[in-house]
Amino acid sequence: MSAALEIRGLEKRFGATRAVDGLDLVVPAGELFALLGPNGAGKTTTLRLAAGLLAPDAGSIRVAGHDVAADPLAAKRVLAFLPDEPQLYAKLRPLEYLAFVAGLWGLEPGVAQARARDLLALLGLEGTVNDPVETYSRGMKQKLVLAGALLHDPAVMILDEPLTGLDAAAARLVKDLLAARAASGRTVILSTHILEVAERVATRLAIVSHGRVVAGGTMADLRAGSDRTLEDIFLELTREAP
Amino acid sequence: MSARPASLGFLVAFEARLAWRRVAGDRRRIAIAALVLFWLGLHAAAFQGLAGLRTEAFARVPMAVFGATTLFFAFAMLATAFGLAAHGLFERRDLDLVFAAPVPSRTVWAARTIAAAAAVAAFPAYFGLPFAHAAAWHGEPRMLAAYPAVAALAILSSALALLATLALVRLAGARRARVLAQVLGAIVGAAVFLAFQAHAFLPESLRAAFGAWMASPAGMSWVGDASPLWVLARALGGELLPLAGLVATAAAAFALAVRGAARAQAMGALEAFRANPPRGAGGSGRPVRFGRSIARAVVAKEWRLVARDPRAILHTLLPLLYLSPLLIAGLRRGEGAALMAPSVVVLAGFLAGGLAWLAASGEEAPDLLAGAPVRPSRLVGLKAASACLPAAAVALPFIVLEALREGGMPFVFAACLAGSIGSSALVQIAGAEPGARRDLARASQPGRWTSIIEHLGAAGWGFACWGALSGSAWGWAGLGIGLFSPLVARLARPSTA
Repeated sequence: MSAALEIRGLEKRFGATRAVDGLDLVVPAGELFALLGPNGAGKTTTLRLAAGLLAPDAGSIRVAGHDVAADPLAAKRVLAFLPDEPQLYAKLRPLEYLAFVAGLWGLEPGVAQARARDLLALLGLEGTVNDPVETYSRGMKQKLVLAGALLHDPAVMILDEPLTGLDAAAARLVKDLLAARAASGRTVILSTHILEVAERVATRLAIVSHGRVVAGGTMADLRAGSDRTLEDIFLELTREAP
Repeated sequence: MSARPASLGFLVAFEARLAWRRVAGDRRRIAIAALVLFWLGLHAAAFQGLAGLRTEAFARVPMAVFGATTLFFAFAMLATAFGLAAHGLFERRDLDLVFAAPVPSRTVWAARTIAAAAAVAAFPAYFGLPFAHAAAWHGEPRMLAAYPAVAALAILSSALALLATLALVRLAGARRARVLAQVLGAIVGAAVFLAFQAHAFLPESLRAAFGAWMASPAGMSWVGDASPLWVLARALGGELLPLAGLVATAAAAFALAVRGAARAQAMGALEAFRANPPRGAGGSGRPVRFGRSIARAVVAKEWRLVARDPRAILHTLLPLLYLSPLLIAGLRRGEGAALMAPSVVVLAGFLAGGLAWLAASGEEAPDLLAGAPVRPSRLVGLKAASACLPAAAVALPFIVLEALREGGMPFVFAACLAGSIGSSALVQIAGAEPGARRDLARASQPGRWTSIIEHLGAAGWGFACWGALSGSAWGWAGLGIGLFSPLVARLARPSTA
């Protein structure tokens, strides 16, 4: 069985800045995978490259076996990407937004509509379906974007800082939802700067620094028999040279 | 020498820097060079044009012509000021930053009003002052009164717009006031245009009656040299009393506006807009249709967004408003009817360009589109179609009129129309600002260069239409401009990192 995400020798520059520098990463299917790293480490760029939003300067990316460069549409069909800021149309209503997403992914209308209503109910948004998105709080917007991402039941979800701006209850709901997806054989890849979240919910982790993966595996792999916390390991691996 | 921090001068300089960057974008040197060169050219034209005139010739220019022109510019300035007032009060997200600083709020509002006045004055000053300079050179130094007159008029416009917008805040609340102020500004601008067009589309009998009234003593009291309507023109022409009156009125309005804005801000009247609008006001909500078609999804989304955004509606409806006199002219016979087709070609291009700008540069979820399994070129095509279809639908009755007109050339008209609509949409899409404008409310207006190219392209197609209909070879020049405008827009687009 192919990996959910397979990245080899990935490089991306922005002018003189090397955002991703020969990054290798393999995420097996059915994992809840956390990508950690300090600010500017290259997490967001890596995720945007994996989602086909940016073109790499070098290297290859395969999503569920599909080469993102050679067959981007096939890769995108099985993929969902959530940016760090929820991007929504302020003047649309939730169901209109989801209908648009369903159209983009070419979903069967009846199935999409039923699934949209289920997702809105699951995420606690059913009481506000007639309100324009501009009236939503940040947490509600994040939930709606998540509903859009789940609409086509993607095999691989890539989420950039999905818990930012959520209150405790909403964060818990999202974490449970993502864990349930991983348990059902789907793959969830998220970036987060909250180490505690990564330590508690992720089945595998990778730590990125200066555009490369500097450590990866399960929490047990990272501890390597010691009793160090993830924070200790993270700080040690990402410490800047004096 | 730089202004003392937190002083009025400091704040005005900061506003000026922001405004200049908004206008010139990344190509400041090119913009300065182009503006200076064009201004010198305007001076040359003005000096040449006025060279033959002498003092007595100036005196022979009917006050009605001078006065009406001045009124036209004054209302245009007021229309611009309304947009700037709404922008300054509601759309700039720096109020918390500025008012958290140890600066008196009246100083802040004074700086913003002065900056708005400078923006309002920029256009008439840029195009009008060369003629004032030329007139002064040719023996009419009183025309230099244009300096204080335009400045006072700009201050007055900005202050009146700010006061009116604050009144709207009190009457309708901050959220509605923003929309109402923009609508009011647009109506003021369009009303002036339509008023000046009114004579052209009045029925013959009414025109004759109006002419007779104008020649009567009652009419002369309104349009004669002594008419109170021309007081602004007299101020501009250097008459001391009207000029002093204008300056005093502007100063009083400025003081009132600054005081009113500071008070409204202190009372929290402007806060409502910054909070999220209340939920639960969405109504019952019509059932939403899910469909498989990507084309339907994209076009429906774009049209919904336009229909629900007051600024977008304004952007769309204004060209339609300007089309209405042409429709009337088209229904009649004569010279006006012959000019209908080229004018419609230009305005339909503007309409398509405006819609394409909203679709391309106003995209709020670029990552969603980039992550969807749809070819980017297809999405661009669908966005262009969503802009072109309404413009084509609006233009359709005019094609029918042209077909019914004796000697009309509906196919030529339709071809130029298609060219204008298509090239305007392509210009806006090709010149779309890199990166997303995540909020249409924040996206103030299309990029200046893109707008200029789009307008030139549409005008080129209009010229081509006129050339084809009248048999003039100059139409080919218009065709060339129209055809190449999308390419120029693509080349002029700022490069991305």
